[in-house]
Amino acid sequence: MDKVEYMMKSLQKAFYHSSDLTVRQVDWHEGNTAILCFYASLVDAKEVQKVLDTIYARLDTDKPFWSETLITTLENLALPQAIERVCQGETVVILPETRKMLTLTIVNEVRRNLEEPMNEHILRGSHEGLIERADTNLALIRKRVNNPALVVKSFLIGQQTKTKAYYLYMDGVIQQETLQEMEKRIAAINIDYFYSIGQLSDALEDSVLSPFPQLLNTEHPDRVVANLVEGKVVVMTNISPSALIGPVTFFSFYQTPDDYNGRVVVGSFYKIVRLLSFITAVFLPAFYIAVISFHFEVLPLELSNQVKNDVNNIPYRPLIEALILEIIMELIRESSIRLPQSVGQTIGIVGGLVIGDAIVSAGLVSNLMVIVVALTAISSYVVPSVELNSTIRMLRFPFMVLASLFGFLGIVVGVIILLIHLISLTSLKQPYFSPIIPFQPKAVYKIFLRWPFIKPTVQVTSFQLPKDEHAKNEDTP
Amino acid sequence: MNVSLSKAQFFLLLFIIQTGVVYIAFQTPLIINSQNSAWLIFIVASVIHYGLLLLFERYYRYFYLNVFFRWVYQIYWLLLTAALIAYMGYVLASWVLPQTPEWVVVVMIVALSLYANLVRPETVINIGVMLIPIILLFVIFLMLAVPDLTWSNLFPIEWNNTKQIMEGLIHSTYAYFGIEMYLIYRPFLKQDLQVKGKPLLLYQLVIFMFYFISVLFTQMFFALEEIKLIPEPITYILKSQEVTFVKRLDIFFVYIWLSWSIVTVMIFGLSFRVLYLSKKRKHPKWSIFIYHLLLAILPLFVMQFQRIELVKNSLHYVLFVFTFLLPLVIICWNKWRGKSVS
Repeated sequence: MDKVEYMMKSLQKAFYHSSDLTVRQVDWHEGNTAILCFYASLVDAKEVQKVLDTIYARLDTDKPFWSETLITTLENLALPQAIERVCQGETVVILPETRKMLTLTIVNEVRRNLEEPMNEHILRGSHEGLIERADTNLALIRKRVNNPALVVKSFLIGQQTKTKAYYLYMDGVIQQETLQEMEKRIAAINIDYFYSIGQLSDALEDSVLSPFPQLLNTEHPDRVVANLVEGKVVVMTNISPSALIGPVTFFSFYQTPDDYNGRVVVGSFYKIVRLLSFITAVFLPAFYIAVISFHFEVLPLELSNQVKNDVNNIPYRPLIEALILEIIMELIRESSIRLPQSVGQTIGIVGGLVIGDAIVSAGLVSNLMVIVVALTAISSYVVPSVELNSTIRMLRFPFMVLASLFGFLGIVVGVIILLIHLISLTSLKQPYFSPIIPFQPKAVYKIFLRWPFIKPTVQVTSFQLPKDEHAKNEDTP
Repeated sequence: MNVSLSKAQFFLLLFIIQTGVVYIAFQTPLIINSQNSAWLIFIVASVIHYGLLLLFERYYRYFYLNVFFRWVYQIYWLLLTAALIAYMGYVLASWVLPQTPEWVVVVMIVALSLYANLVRPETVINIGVMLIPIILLFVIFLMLAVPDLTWSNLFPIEWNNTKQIMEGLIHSTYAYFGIEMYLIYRPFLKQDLQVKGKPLLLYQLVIFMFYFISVLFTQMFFALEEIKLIPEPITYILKSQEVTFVKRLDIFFVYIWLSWSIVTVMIFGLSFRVLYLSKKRKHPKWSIFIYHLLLAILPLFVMQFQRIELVKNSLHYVLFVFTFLLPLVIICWNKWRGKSVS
């Protein structure tokens, strides 16, 4: 067996004889032989042929740098590197005589068009969304920041999958400790097979078991840029349209680009409405259960009589009543997400109106409970972030149980536990509940109001306040 | 413990400790003992408190606690917190939860304090911030009582009864108990921050106004004979307010007061932690756990009407010793020896 044949066999063996692998012997300059190796599924073969023709022509004219173009490089032959290149979608031309390999970067990547993110609808502003291709995403960001201070660093995730990922930051704006923390965490990632953004999120978050997301997940390039200029780090992968942003605060999840693209007063009003919705979404069913089960005396007499008449005919305790409706709500939500959009809407109507009406007529739940659960559901969907939205919907269940066991005392206990958790939580080791904790009076108003001029400032880095208590960012959409 | 406090954090910590549990009740013994002159005596007590703050600010470096005094204060805080928890359970049982077993309430309060003290110390330091809006709400709703106040209840002032004045002053210690925490936490303040002068005066004015309103309102709302029957006058005033949206406003405020008091218990736990962990310990979390275990057991021995009354009628003497006298003695002793906190 000659050298070329042996090499081809070795390559096929290295790639486990995959059907989409092309290993072919081709003629090369001065009567030599070369081996062409690529994955047919990842490479545009016609383009490869064109580039090879160009290379042949350059070889014939004896150009000294015949191999160097924007998409080709010549390097020493090493089998592991060759395998890695082929896996990344490149074409390798092995030259056995000279122990060199020529790499052609002509990747035929599958990509979808830029569309508006489905889970982050906005009314005004850019409707472009990130896609499952890092180069396109980087282009969308670079288009918005024409500045070399926008630094992009690449790394690979997954020891076996070797997925390309990037982290981005604005040099001069980002604090060194933030960057170091992110780099430390990226370096510590130990995943064999990377296939989902959730894996990366788990690896980068401070507390994986907390119900609260500690990295902001967005598909909007303008939102990415707004966070970059505030000194945050953005991590993106080649397989997901989501960008992970950190460090963030609890209040970052309540902001949307619409707040800043609309009128100042309108933006502020909806910011306040959204924040108030947190209270309704988490506490309203628990409050109702506590009042009905323990503290009937807080209700005014007229309302109290009406509630009494309503509740008296229900065979279940308020907790069971609430759980029935809440679980139905969750089922309707899940089914409408999984079904096609047109059918999903129908399910929503059937679930919401028909079942709601029937369940009251059947005497399983009271009218008041339907109102309470409907209000709660609406309030929970107000949150612009999908992650926090899910957290809030889940949070109300323990509060309902506590309220049914201890009334208002249970709610107080739940609130204090929640607060202790939120106050001690960190995002990339920076306070999650900032600017409330540590308290920065000059920055607190930014949680509630959208100011005419957004001054990008860096997020507070520790629980100890800086000497000059400058207003920190809570203004990033 | 590696913690540094800003001015706001430091004063908020003090404010919560000093107002926590006693705010709804300290007016009754004060008014019973000093009659119509209560408000004036309280002003005098506040001036003394301010003087003490100034003194503490000047000599806080000399509040060096040796092993013996560290244990004295740790045991004092443990017993004091146990008494406060017992009182909290008692108030809850009388106002809102007559059917709930007392031990359940105690375990809940202690469990919350344990959780807060097991996580980072900044959590307890900062959690008081969350109380600011609800404390303001407390005062705002108290203002609803203004039309029912009788200003003539404030007079006549009797200023020649020394016993009455002394009794009034000593019962005012309830309002300003916990001032020894100034000496405990002052060394943790960031070094370049200035406290004396305006910040200290501002703090004194805020806490004074906060308490003074409650004393005035209680005196003007109740006749002297009535006040003897009302152990928690502020809650009662809130109960008397009629609003359209709820029938019993006081229930909400009892829970606001409860949250506020739980934070006070947490801060006492933190103070224990500060003193206990000033020396390197092998198992810091275990000591916090044991402190809280004792805190869950001790209140159960006090939680009876007679015992609570006994504690209420004698606690001010204990507070007077540990809050005012002992710190002064320790400061003088260390100044004489030239020993100070490094």
